[in-house]
Formats: sequence, C-alpha cells, structure tokens
Amino acid sequence: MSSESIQASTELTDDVAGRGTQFQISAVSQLMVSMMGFMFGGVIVLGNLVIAMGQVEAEPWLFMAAWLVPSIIILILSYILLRIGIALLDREMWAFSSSLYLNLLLALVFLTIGNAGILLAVGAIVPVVVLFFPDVKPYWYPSFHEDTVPRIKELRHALYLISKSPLVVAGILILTCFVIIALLAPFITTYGPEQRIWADSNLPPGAPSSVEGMPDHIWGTDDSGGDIYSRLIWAAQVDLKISLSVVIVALAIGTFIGAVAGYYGGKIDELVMRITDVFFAFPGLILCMAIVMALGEKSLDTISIALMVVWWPTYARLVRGQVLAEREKLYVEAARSIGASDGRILLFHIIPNTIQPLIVQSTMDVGSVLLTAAGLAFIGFGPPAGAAEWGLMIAIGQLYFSMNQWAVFFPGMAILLTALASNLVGDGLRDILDPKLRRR
Amino acid sequence: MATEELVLKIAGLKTNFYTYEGVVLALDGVELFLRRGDTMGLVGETGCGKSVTARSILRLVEPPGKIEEGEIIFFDSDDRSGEITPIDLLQLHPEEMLHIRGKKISIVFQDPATFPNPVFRIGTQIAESVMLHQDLSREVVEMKIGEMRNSLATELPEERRSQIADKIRYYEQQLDNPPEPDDKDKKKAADMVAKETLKLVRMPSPSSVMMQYPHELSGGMRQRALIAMALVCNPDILICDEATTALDVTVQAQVLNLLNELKKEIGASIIVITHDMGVVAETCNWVSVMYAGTTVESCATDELFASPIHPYTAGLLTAVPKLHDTRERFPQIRGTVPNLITPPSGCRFHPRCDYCTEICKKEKPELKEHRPGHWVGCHNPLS
Amino acid sequence: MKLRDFILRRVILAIPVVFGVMTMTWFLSYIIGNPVAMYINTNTPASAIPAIRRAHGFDEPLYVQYFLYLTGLFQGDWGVSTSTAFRPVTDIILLKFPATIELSMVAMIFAIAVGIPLGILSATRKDQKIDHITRVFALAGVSMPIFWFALMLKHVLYFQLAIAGLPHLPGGERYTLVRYLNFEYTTGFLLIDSLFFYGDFTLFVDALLHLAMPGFCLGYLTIAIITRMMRSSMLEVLREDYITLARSKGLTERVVIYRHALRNAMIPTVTVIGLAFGSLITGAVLTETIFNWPGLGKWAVRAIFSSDLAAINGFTLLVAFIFVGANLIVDLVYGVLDPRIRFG
Repeated sequence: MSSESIQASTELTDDVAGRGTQFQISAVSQLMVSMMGFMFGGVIVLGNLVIAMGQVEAEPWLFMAAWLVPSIIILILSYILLRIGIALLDREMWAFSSSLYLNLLLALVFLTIGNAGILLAVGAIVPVVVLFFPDVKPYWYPSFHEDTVPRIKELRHALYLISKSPLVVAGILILTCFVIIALLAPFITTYGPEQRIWADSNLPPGAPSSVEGMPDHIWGTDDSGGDIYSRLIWAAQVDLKISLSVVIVALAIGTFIGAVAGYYGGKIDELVMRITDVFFAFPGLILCMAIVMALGEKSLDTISIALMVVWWPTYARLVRGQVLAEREKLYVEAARSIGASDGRILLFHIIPNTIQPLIVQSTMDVGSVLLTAAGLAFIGFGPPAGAAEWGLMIAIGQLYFSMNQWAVFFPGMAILLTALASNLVGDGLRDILDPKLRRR
Repeated sequence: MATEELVLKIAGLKTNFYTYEGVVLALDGVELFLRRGDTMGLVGETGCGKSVTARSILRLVEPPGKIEEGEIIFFDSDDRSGEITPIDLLQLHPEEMLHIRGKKISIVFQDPATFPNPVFRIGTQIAESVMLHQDLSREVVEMKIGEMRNSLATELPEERRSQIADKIRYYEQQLDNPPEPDDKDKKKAADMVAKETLKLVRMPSPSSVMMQYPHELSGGMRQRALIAMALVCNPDILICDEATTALDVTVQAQVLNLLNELKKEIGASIIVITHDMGVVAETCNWVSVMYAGTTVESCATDELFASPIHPYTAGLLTAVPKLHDTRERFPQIRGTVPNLITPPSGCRFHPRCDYCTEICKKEKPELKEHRPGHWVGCHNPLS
Repeated sequence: MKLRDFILRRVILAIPVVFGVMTMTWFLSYIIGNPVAMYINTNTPASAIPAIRRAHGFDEPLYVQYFLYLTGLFQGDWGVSTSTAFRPVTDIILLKFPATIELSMVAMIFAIAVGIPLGILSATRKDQKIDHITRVFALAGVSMPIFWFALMLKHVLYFQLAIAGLPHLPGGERYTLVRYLNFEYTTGFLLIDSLFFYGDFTLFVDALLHLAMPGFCLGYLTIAIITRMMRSSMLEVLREDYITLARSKGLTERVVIYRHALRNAMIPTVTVIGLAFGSLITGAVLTETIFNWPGLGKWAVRAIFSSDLAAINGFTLLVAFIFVGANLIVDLVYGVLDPRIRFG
C-alpha cells in the first residue's frame, strides 16, 4: 500500500476510535437487529413451508403471496444487514449509511405482517436516533460529513416545518396513538375479539356485565353482547394492518411497473397505459366487489388482495408520469454517459426524485384504503359477521340503531379519525415537500 | 437634477423579504431618477435588486416581501393640459394604483414562456388593457367611419352611396364629442387598437396572431406580444425587466432594435433592466448601476463607459471582454456577492473594494453629484 | 389539431377501454362460478339447460365463449337476475337507473355550486379563519365513512326529530308512498315528472324533501373533493407569473381572480369532477339501502348478498360504462378549457 493510503486508513481507524461508544452502540444494535430479523424470517419461512405442505390442495398460492414472499424478503434483508453489521464492526465505513435504510425497511415489512415488528422497530430506531446526536459524525468517506450536513439540515428544516403546523402534528399523533393501541391490543382490551355474552345485549356505555366476575362494558355492547370497546381495539389491528399492507404492496408493484413503463416508453408504455385505463374505468369499490366475488371467499385476506389489485394502477400512473418527466433531464443523460446501467439509473437517480408525490399520495391512501375496506365489510364483502372489523361493526349495529347508537357511533368515529389523521399528515407533507413553499 | 425634466424619482426605497432563514434586506435605500424621454439602463449582477426595484415601483411586491419605506414620485402629466402633478406612488391607496398600472407605467417581463396567460388568445389579452384603461368612444366612431368608407369602395347603387355619405358626415360631427359606445362596439374597437399595436411592434401577420394562443407563437413573437400589451395604452414609463434575457441572441437583437425604433414613435421614458452591458450600450442614453440593493453610480452611458468613478463599476467594465483584448486572464472583482440577510456594514461593497478605508466600513455613502451630470455613492471615488 | 380532431381522438381512444371493461367483467364472471347461472331461472326445466349451455357456447373453447358473451351484451342479453324474480337484467337497469341518476345529479349540482366558490374563497383568504374552517370541513368530508354519515344523519334529522314531534325530513323512499301510492313515471325523474307532466307542485316539493338528506349525504363527500382540488389548484395558479402580469396591467383583484386565475384553476378541477362521479356511484351503493332508495345501489347490494351473478355483472358493466362516459365528457371539456391540450 502506498504511504497515502496507509495514512488514510490510519486516519479512518483513528477517527472511529475517536467516535468511541456512540458508534459502537449503533453498530452492535444493528447487528442484533439483523440477527433477530434473520431468526424471525427463518422461522416464518420454515413454518409456512410446513403448513403449505400440509394444505397442498387448499390454495397454497394464497399463503405464499401473503406470508411466504414477505418472509423471504425479510430473510434476504436480514442477511444483507448481517453482513453489513459485521463489516461495521470491522470498520468498513461504507456499511453504516446503507444499513440505515435497510433497517427501516426491515422494520416496516415486519410491522405489516406481524407484531414482532415492535421489537424490530425499536432496534431500527437506535441508529436513526444516534445520527441526530450533535456530536456523532457518521463516517463513510472523508468528505461524507460535509455532504450529509446539508441533508440533515434539510431534514431538520422539514421537521421544523412539520412542528410548525399543528394540524400535521395532530395527524401524526393520532396515527401513532392508533398504531400503538392496536399493537398493544392483547394487553389493554377487556374482552376477546369475538367474545359474546348474549345476556349483555345492547347495554349502554359504562354498564356492568350481567355475568359475575366479567369486567364492565366501558363503551357498551352491541346487539349480540360483544363488548364494543374491546372489539374496537381488536378491529384496529385488523383495519390498520389491511390499510398499511395494501398501500405498501400496491406502492411496490405500482412503482415498479410505472417506472419500467415510463422509462422504456414505446409499446410497454402503451400497454401499461391501456391496462391502467381499464382499471380506472371502474370506481374502486365496485371493482373490489367484483374481484372479491371472483376470488370466491369473502374474508379479510381476499379484501386485502382485491384492494391491492385495485390500487396499484394509481401508483403506476403517478410514477410513470414522474419518470417520463425525469427521463428527459440532463442528469439522466450524464449518468448514462458514464456507463450506469438502466436499472441503476432508475433505482438510484430517477426514483429518489419521484418520491415526493408518492409519499403524499400513499399517506393519504392509507385513509382511502381504510374507507374502502370498511365499506366493503359494511355491504357484506368482508369477514363473516362476528369478526372484529370497524365496517362490519357498523353493519351489525345499524339493525338496532334506534335503541343502541353506540355500536355504530364508535366504530364510525374510529374510521373517521384514522382517515382524518392520514389525510392531515398527507396534506401537511404535501405543503412541506413543495419546493416552492419551503423557503418562505 | 431639475424637477421639470423628471418623470420618476425614487428616494430611500427600502424593501425587505421575511423568510425562514431571516430577513433579506433586499433594497437598502435605492435612489433613482428618470428624465422624461430618456432610456435608462439599470444594471447590476443577479440578485442586486433590479427586479425588486421595478416591482416596487408598481407595488407588485408580493409577500413575504414588503416595501418598508421610501418615496417613489411619479410626475404625472395630464394628456390635454400638459400640467404636471407629482404623485408619491407609495402613499397611494391600492385602488388608485390600478389607474397607474398598465396605463401610466407599464412593465414588460422577462420570460415569454411563463408570462402570458396560456388559456386566452393574444388579441384578448392585449384588448383587455385597452378596454380597461381607455375610453374608446372616439375610437368607436372612427371605426364606424372606417367601415362606411370601406363599403363605399364596393359596387353599390347611387341611392345607397348617398345614404352612406350622409352617415359618414353624421359620424364625423360626432368625433369631437363622441357618445358612450355599447359593449359590442367597444370590444371591436379594442381589438382594432390591439391589432394596431401589434403592427407597431412589427409582429408578422398581426391578424392571425390576434386569434392565436401563446403556446402557438415563438419566443420572440411572444415577447413582442408582451411588449404590445405594455404599450397599448401609451404609458409614460415603460419598464423592461430583463426583457431580452430569455431570448436567444438573434431574437434579442431584433427586440433591441424594436425598442430603439419605438423610442421615437411612442415618446415614453424607458427603464431597461439588464445584467448585460452590451444591451445597455445599444439602447440606453443613461445608466444606473446597482450593487447589493443600493445605487452606486448614475450617469450618461458614454460617460460611464469612458470613465467610471465607482470601484465596482470600474471592476465590472474591466471584466467585460473587448474585441482587441490581448489579455490571457480576465481580471475579477475579488470576493462574492454578499448575503443580504447579514449584509456588510457601511458601504455594502467594502469587503471587495481595493480602495476601502475606515469610513467605508462604518458609514453608508450617499449618492452625490461628484462631477456635473455624474452621480456616485462612494467615499473614495476614482477620478 | 383542431377541436374536432381532438374530440374524435378521445372518443376513439375510449373504445378499447370499453372493450377492456367488457373483457374484464367476462373474465371475472368466468372465474366466479358457473356462468350458466346468469342465463337460467327457476322456471327453466333441467332438460333445457344443456340446450342453453350450447346456445351460449359454454361447451366451446374460451375464445368462442368470449365472442358469444360480447355479442350477447350488444344484443341486450345481459342475463336474468336471480335476486329480483328472474327478470332480465336490462329491464331492471332501465327501471332503477333514473332513481340513482336523479339522486346523483342533484348531489353533483349541489356539490359544484358549493364546492367551487368555497375553494376559491379558501384559496384567496389563505391561512385566515375561513380557510381553516373550510379545510377542516373538506377534510372531514373526505375522511368520513359515507354509510356512517348516512346513518347519523338519518338518526338526527329523521328519528330524533320525529320522536320529539318536530318537523323532520322523510326517512326514505323518493316520495311519501302513503299519499301518492303507486306513482306512474314518465321519464323516471320525479322532479321533472311532477312539475312538467303532472303539474303537481306539492309532489315536487315532496320529492325535493325526500332528496334532501340522501342528496346532502352524497354531496358532502363530493363537495369536499371539489373544494380541496379547487383550493390547491387555485393556490398554484395564483403563484404563476401571468397573475403578476395581469396585476401589472392594472386589473382589479376581482378580475384577476375570477377571469385569469379561475379559468386556469378550473382545468384540474374538472378532471376531479369526472372522478367524483365514481365516488357518487360508490356512495350510492353504500347509502341507498339506508335511505330505502329504489335505485341501482340497493339492487346491487341485494344481488351481492344472494350471489346473483348476472346482476353483479350487469351492474359492474353499467357502472364502468357510465364512468367511461363521464370521463370522456370531462376530457372534452378539458380540451375546450385548455387550448394547449388540443395541440397534442
């Protein structure tokens, strides 16, 4: 090695040694997160394979779509993270920043398919938080600090703008509260999700149960004696899961198809445009109805799949439009002239520039998907009566609406608040991300 | 400067922009004077406040900007009596400004791609100003006379011809005291005036351009249309805010030629805002140089190019490449344009000035007549 | 490209979409189950079924079935509805169509009349109190589950008021059945019929009262959508350079907003109005049962519950056609408003 590179590498190690504890904590926590992810992913994959083998006749493809594929994704991500964690400890500096994004992605994927997400989310947050400590200077290459400081400044400015808008803060708080409540469901509910006490039908809020030793009905009961308060929280799990997973999957599919269509243009583009045109010819709810009927079974999973199928064209069109505009810009030509492959250009150059409207749209879509899912459950396309789902609770409640308003009111308010919060956040994000409005 | 000659006088104009990063002190006591009939160039680097000054004159500064203080005196001359009334534009009620904008003082903007309204035809947009500001009663009568005369040119029976001749006499009598026209006639007259103005700006095929939309025209034609919109009501002052910057060189030359020709035809005083010294040399007979929100020098064009007094102007002019240049490296003014949120104290140019002394750091220099006909704002002017 | 060519082009582009829609519904109904169920009813003897099967080509390869399905659609054979006494789907649609359309039209007119001015107001008085109120109002409209809103409205405006003995809005149906019994429609539109064909003013008022609650319920969501779009596009337009130009000409603020800005801001709003038709139809499905409105929505819901294939298929098809038609009209209006579009 030449003297220059020896000097550079000693500088590196010196610097890392100088960073000390904070950096070490972050590296070790990432390693732990990735190992946990690996473990969970492996367990889920194996478990699914076992179950799938036992149910070869009964539509194993549904299982695979809903559970196997995400768990394989988790497995892959965890493996990459594991390698990165090891590299970090060995002082390979490139590892730190890329692992940040992967950690977040991992936590997100886990959150949508199960409760283990809490633990992973906590693990993923640590490196993010560490990044914000004023003395921590994440290290990648010698001038990394100068490059990231303006980015962190932008991020802090964005957070400042967010904090200045009370409505957006309210929206974020509401959503976070709901998610936390949903995740804590097993601990804060008083009854099970489908538990009924027939003697307790149509009781007003605050009424005690007619059965000895059972807890009070804080928000009353519905017409078959199910506790509204508890069912509301169990339903939160269900509804939030549907909303988040539909948006994420539709986003992924739609972005991919839209980016390819927009970038390559020509016949592929025409084809995708015609297909999305046909999808857009149907109002969302109606098409969902038809798809659920086509899938045969009326359950939460079929609603989810139907919603995903209905929602991806929105993102495809959005991304396609953006990619078409970006494709003509000079930086794409510059990247191509230095030999970047199409995939690389798409992934690293074009898509990051198209993210802003996607973020806004997908945030608001969380609310829209929820409304559609609840609507579907309301008219009977969802799980059979008795399951905990907000729309379904309203459908059941309307039969005895004249004497018992609470069975309808509370679930409706829950839907309203969630959709409201997601729209608030989406609106706020749109105002914040608008470059013309940023520097007032 | 004798007041009778002036048509516009700006004194102590301060405009600020309240942004997230801080308060941008964009204009810090700008001084400007425009003589009647002059074509004044307002030059300076990007960001020195030229456009802000132009918009401040018409009070088009939008939030987060705010005109803080100052005087902008417009010497309004009445059309018929020739009497001159000074009006402080900053003291006017916003509704009264509406009578100034487009009618007495007009502005031609920079980018012909974004400035015309894309959903209206060119003719409609030009005629709009006419309908708004002008009393078209006389024009309507003239239009009717013109129509009658045109019909006389065709084959008609003798009876009809005498009827038409009578009508023409009747209308000619009305010319001195024309009646209030109805809306349809007004619109037709306005369109006529618009077409005349398009001819004035040498627009090719004006009749078809009237019916076209902005995106159907080329950049140069759109700029002519914008100029027509500004000129149509015969303003006393025409401000061209970087009107040629967005055009390519050949078109730029055409528009500059147009401006030169129009100077004699329309009798307005023109302010040409630009960062291009070449444009100034071509079109202006007076120049004001701005730097970081203040006026630093103001004199006749020839005088400025021959002997600039302010160090900044001198530096600018030496940096302009000349035809017979044999230099290998261009001299620069050292340093960079200051951040206007935290501008330098005293004279805003002092950190970059080779002739800076103690007083320059403390006191802001006032614009004074250093030589006859040559104003400068400097503690140590070169001469 | 002239306006005429633009119109022609849009219409031609809509045709493959229509075919795509028909293909989609055929595909879905094929997966659903026994497609023959669409064409038979309880009166058909079991022996006749094979003949019907052959006639509709169910024993034939796929592409033949597809072709026969399409020709059947064009000839008006949309199957029979098992949930409505096995009447042909086309008959039912013709019967129930006006009810839903009348409701939708009333809601749409109400929404446009309120939504657009509200959006302009909100944009021109940005960040003032009226802006905040409008934004929250619109936000609530977009976040509200429409069926829940319908239930709440009905409870308050009908049920509670009726119990308290106060004057209230009717709870359902298109007119007071008890008073008018079986009304014979001419056009199917109660408002038009009562006023022009029967000259019965009290019936007209009665119909209006019945339209009030469902109309408001459907309209609220549409108002919200329109107001939000109008506000955001107005805000964007007001930042454009040509607004500064208009002001520099000395035009009053009123003219600047209502002539220069509005025309440009309407362009995206018109698109949203077309999409709003979809939300109206969705709303109809969700709320007609609650208001006992004898329209397509109520029929569709019943069909779903009884797995009435033909009805669901027919409904989906119809809705898609209406939607494509509405969007086509919107595209044409778009072309009229924005001259840049016409030129490709």
